[in-house]
Amino acid sequence: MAEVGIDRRDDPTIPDAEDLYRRVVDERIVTEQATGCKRLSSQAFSDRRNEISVDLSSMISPEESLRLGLRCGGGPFRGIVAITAGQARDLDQAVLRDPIPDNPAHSLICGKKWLLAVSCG
Amino acid sequence: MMMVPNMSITASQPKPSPRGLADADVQFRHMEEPITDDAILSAKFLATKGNQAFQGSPGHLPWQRWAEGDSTSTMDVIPTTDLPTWLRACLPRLLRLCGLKPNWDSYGSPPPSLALVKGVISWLRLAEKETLPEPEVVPASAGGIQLEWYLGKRELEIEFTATGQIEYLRSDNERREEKEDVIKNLDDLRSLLGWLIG
Repeated sequence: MAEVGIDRRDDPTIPDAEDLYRRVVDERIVTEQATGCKRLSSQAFSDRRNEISVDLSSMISPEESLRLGLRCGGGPFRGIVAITAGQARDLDQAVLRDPIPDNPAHSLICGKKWLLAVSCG
Repeated sequence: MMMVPNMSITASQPKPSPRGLADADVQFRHMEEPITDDAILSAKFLATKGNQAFQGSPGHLPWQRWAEGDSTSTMDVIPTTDLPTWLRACLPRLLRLCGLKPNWDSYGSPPPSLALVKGVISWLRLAEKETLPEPEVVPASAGGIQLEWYLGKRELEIEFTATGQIEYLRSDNERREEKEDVIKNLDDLRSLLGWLIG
């Protein structure tokens, strides 16, 4: 049986330059032991299902994306991080629309999770 | 060996809901010395919300069942005898993950379970590495826990999934090499932690 998220088709109507928003909570901000610098944990862009939920920047503002996250019980959030659809595709990920009732901007980055997590971590 | 008595905690205020736990101001207080011979405890639990305060008994970690609404049940115990310093230091942060509310990341993730925290501690104790730096502790998606070390030239992430799998990603920044795999046994884990500080 195929793994979930691996065989999803990329949506070419989403331009490479489109920012894909992802909400980040404090727990996903880590400190490098060697330097003391803050960085984003790879878990911010990781999902066991190989499908990562994001919001299309052309359809929603960062502020509204955060408000959506709070309304569904998440947070508090440190903020929004973004990668472009082109960056995701360069890592062999598919980017596709997945509108849901409360969030028509909802989309998915699909593919092997480590490829994306390693790059964004 | 001294036996640890079963103890219970009874809330003096209306029973808190899991949501109440998540909203509570939760603090852990380190105990300088273990209270019992065979082990136990490095954390004392105190949670407050408004004028409510719930305090666990030293040596017992009341989170899980309290969070589930059972305010009178016997508490779980996490043995901490012989834990290396780095692991003892990150224990409060590991336990704190259990207090995350469902959907804490807004993407459907549940909080890690206390059973998983116990499993993580057991694995790391058995690895018998005394001199590691304290890792970053990160809640993973789907209820997992990830430990992260960034030591400059070497970086290591170990993810303990809620389904019992242990995966790692190691990066050698000098050689520009990355490797990911599954940890199948203690030898794998020891080898990996040895690589990190080697």
